Amino acid sequence: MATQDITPSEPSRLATIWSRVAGNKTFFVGLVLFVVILFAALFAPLISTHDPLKIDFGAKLVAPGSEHWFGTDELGRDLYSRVVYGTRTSLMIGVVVTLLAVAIGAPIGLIAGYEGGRLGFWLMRFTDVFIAFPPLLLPIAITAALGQGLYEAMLALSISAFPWYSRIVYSEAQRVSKSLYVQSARASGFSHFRILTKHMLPNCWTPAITQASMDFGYTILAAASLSFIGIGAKEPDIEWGLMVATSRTKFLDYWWVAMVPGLAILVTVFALNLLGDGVRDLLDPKGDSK
Amino acid sequence: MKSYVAKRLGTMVLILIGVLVMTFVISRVLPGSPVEMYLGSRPSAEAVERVTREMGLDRPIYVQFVRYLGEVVQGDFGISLMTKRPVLTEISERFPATLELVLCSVLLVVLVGVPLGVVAALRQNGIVDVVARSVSAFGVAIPTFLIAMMLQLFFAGQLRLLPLQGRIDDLVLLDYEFPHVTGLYLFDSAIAGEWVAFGSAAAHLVMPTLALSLSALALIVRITRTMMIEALGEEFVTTLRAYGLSSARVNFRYVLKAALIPLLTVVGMTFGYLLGTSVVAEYVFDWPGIGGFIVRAITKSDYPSVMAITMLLATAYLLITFLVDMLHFAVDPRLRH
Repeated sequence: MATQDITPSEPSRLATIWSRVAGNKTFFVGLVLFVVILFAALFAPLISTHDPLKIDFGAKLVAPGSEHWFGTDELGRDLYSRVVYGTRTSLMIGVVVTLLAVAIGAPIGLIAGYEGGRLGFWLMRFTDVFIAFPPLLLPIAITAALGQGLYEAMLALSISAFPWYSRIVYSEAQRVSKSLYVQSARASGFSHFRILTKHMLPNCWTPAITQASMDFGYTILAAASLSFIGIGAKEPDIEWGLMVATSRTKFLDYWWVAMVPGLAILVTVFALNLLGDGVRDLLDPKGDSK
Repeated sequence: MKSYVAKRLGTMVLILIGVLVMTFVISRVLPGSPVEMYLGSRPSAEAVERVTREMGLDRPIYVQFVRYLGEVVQGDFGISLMTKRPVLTEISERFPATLELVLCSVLLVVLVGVPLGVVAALRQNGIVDVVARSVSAFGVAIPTFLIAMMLQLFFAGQLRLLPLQGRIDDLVLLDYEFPHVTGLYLFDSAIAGEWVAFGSAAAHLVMPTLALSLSALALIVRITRTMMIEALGEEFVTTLRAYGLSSARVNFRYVLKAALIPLLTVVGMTFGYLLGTSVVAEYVFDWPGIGGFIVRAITKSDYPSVMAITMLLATAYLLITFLVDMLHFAVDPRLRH
């Protein structure tokens, strides 16, 4: 039976992880907040009070109250429901962008570190070019080329983020490729593909995962910024940065229109950062904890 | 030393060429061909053919690239489709505004962030440390546009203390004219002795600077604190303490020095980081710099401007990184071995 295959050390390992999680206050807070946000995203139709897209000019710019918990925007749409649905967009952005960035970046770093030499040099110089741009600028230029929209912005963010994963995996791969087991695998005539996937990758990806968990919040922040300046999400996408942007002409008199979605971003990114720091502490206990 | 500089310089030139290739590629995969953009909708077939030849778009791609390189080297970035003026003119008129904002932010970030980080590290879990850690956790998570709008809501909307947006009061600019020597209003108005204009420029700078600085400040505090703690744990600190040096002397004469050298790199990075995020801050405050310009250029499909600004900022970013590396090399004797 499959359950009997579990080694005896497994429960104790889980227990260690659990004791570390419970002992790490910031991670715990981040985890709780994240679970709440995840819950909102998964069960948005159940916990929202109104249709997030329903326009009601009879109820525009209503202040937060018992009917509309977070108030309504200039089209009379319920902000609470829009914030709840917005969790889906933001989490989707974070997951897709990060996965895509890792999927592009990690193989480059892996191959560069494994092969080294001229190929490694040029692969890494190639990634350097993408890092030569100040933050946000490359996504802006790429979005200008691809066209403006949520998916274009996501692709642009992935293209700007992948070199960091290449770099991280590269430095690991360089170290691992010199190790005895990789050397002997090479000597035994294993295929490059097999060595890369079976021997190198499992020993290289911990720092990449750490980085990914720490970048998650930043990705959502950057995507919101792109939507805010008008080159990311477009109506009728329900995206927090876009919601803040459309409130700009009204927010001095109706503060909630801007502050509600803005604070949603703040809380989400805050939670994800705590979570990311926690993941780093768990995976890499040697790293600085603050 | 020489070989290190040469190597670093070589890498930089390589990357710069890469950046040029990239902007070239981006400008060639744009939606809609440059010809159509130039001629407007429904051009005649002859006009398309003529302009295609004039723009060199009928030549092989590598010929086009060489031509593009030549133009860039001569500072010819084409004509802005939005304003019908040379892109270089547009940029050079706007860059001082961006530079002024970014410089003020760098000053704020370094003068507040570094001391805060140092004190936080020296008195871990003390009040300053708690404040510093809260500021950095908050600052990293808050979007620049949100803090910008919060400031506007409070200081311009509620208190009516600061101007909502813009760089200077237009009437002040007319009444108290000052020569634009550097393009930095604070500096220009001060050397001209026009203190009313100086006051207006300063008041307009407060909110954009604060908004732009916060996330960088958060990062600097965090990094300074970590580096300081690392330096405090070095063996030489124990040795110096064992020699009986006062802890103030150890902390400020030796530990700070060890921590500050790597911080140089971080300050350089901050500069580049702020150049990037200034786009958002300029947009919110209607700041007449290149950040706000690039946003409008994108929405108006003014691609020559977008590409030129991207390229120039990337070049500036590369140069800053290079200079900081050189400085780092010059002050840290360990790197010379």
